[in-house]
Amino acid sequence: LHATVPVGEVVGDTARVAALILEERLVIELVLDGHVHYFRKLVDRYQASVRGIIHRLVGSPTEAEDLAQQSFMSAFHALRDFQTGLRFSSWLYRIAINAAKDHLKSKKRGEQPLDDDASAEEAAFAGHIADPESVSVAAERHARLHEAIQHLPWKYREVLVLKDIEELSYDEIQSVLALPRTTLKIRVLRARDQLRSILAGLEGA
Amino acid sequence: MTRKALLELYRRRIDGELDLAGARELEAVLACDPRAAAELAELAELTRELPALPKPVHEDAFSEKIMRALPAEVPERRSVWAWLLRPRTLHVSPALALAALVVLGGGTAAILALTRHSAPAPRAAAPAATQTPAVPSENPSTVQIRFVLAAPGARSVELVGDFNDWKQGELELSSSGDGVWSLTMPLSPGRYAYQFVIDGAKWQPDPNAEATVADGFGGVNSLLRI
Repeated sequence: LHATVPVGEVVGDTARVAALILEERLVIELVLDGHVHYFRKLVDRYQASVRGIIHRLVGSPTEAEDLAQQSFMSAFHALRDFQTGLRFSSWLYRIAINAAKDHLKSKKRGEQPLDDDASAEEAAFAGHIADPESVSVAAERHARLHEAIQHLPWKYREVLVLKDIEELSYDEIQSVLALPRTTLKIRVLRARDQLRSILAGLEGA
Repeated sequence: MTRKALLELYRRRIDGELDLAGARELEAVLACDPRAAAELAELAELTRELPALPKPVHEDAFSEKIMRALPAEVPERRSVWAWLLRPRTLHVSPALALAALVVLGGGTAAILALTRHSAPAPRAAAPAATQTPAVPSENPSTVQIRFVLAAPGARSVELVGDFNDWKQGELELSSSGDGVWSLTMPLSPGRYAYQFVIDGAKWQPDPNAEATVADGFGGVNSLLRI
């Protein structure tokens, strides 16, 4: 693999994205050609984002880890169907979001999810065990935000996570969700407004 | 101004899309409505906080786990030829399975490959003498469904679907020794998407399912309606 992203070099965003796309196409070609170990480059590049997106969508970090693994496995198995017109990240995020959505649907069908202690979830997610006595104000606020996101209807939750947490552009979100830009913008404004109301409700409770 | 129009002005301000006319319009609203100013401030604060939520860090162990689970190569695309060569599956009531075994002289992969019946078994019709005996359901609202896959050469076959949250490692099919794998389980009436997983990695939809639904990954899930 010879194409590399010019890390540290001052390049325009378009050039950077073009280099990324080129590199990923090469990686995918190599994987399809039997050099499966190159798939790790894609896993390494996107595992944190995929795990993060799924965590915010399903609520539980443990479930998010399983679903993230499932998403990468699904992407590998479907790699021959990858459309080169898309960025790999957009395609992968679509797979991840669908996995999260299917998971929540399945959960709804059966047992309702337990109301996990959001503070504990945050602590575990950040990779350390927090002393319940010393959970900081910031951590409590994060836990409250996380909880509020779980109360958003799915169509608002997915755009909020992509736009305001992962900070994707509307172009990228359009590629991931395959929705008209106007629809996305309406959902974003509704999502923010509903999140604000939900938070107010949680904090007033 | 409608609520939606006001929210759109907030959004454009927060997303940096406000033009001069929009900015003037928003300023006019904020000047005469202190609640709007407070609301916009809250929304702006929220959108500053959200990207700062804790995010996972890169973990080598995660990548390593994925890489260990990958098969030796990316599976071929589905094609008519591949479809023809794909192992066939069968959902059949234990009573019908028993009848097929009796009439055709034994349960083999060939019989299973040629026979298709997706009718669920009424609880009362479930005998306990098939190749994989059906266990009568203790719950009268469930029916026994037998999943069968002819997969010669497989080391393991399991079933995943809506009924078990798509979790691997829970519903393993048993091999009869001649490449035919089966599992009988009680299911409540409903609509279930499912797939088989061969050797822990290869996801295999059921080509003989009564229907399929898009799996969201460019493929399909098999659909069972009871």
